[in-house]
Amino acid sequence: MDIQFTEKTPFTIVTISGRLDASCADEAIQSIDARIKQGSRKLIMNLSKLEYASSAGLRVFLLAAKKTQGLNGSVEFCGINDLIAEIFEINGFKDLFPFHSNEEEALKNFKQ
Amino acid sequence: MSECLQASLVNRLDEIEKLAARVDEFCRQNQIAAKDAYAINVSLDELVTNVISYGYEDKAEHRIEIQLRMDNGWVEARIDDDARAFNPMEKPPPDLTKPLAERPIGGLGIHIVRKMMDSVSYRRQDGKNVLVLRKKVVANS
Repeated sequence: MDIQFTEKTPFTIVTISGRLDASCADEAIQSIDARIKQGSRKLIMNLSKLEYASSAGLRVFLLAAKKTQGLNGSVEFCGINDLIAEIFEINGFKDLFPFHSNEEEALKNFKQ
Repeated sequence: MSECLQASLVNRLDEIEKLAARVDEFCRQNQIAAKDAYAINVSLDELVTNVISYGYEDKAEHRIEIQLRMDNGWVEARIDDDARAFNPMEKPPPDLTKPLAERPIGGLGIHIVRKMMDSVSYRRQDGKNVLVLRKKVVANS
């Protein structure tokens, strides 16, 4: 798992690549927390390089969304592949979050 | 063509990635579609992660045995562990209709397994938890 942050004010792009499972979820949670503490509020999770996510990955996203929501921010997603999208779907994430096809679309259509 | 996979894991979370590589190889050899390979991998991951994270009361090393076999278009996966008795199928499903602020963080893993597999059975046998998962798979064209 690798996690990178790119600031595109007022958005923060969070690009997570590789495998997001229980062995690295806490590391992802801590990095995202640190960014939120530094002031990031509108997070775009770019999952185009994410190959695998388990429920531990869903926990990372739920925690980030709950934290930013408490600070008048939010989390949206882009670039998710079909395999991971199914995991999101069976856990009701499609009703909770907006999904965009790519980063440009997310930047353009981010719901305030 | 390998129709059977046996893996012996120690109770560390970094073992799951190694298991995933072997499961992927098994699925490739048996021409199992990527979608089904993902379902099998994530189900094993969720159950083994639960065992490793919550199953042991000591700090000792434990073995978790995994078997995977093809049977007439079905994949059968079996997990044997010596953790404390726990039947994951007795856990109630999470409430996925709640708004974000009230949405539970946990309990999603077992829900994924239930949704991804066609059947999951649990028994306690000789001091071990035995889980058997079955899924009908689609061959790659």
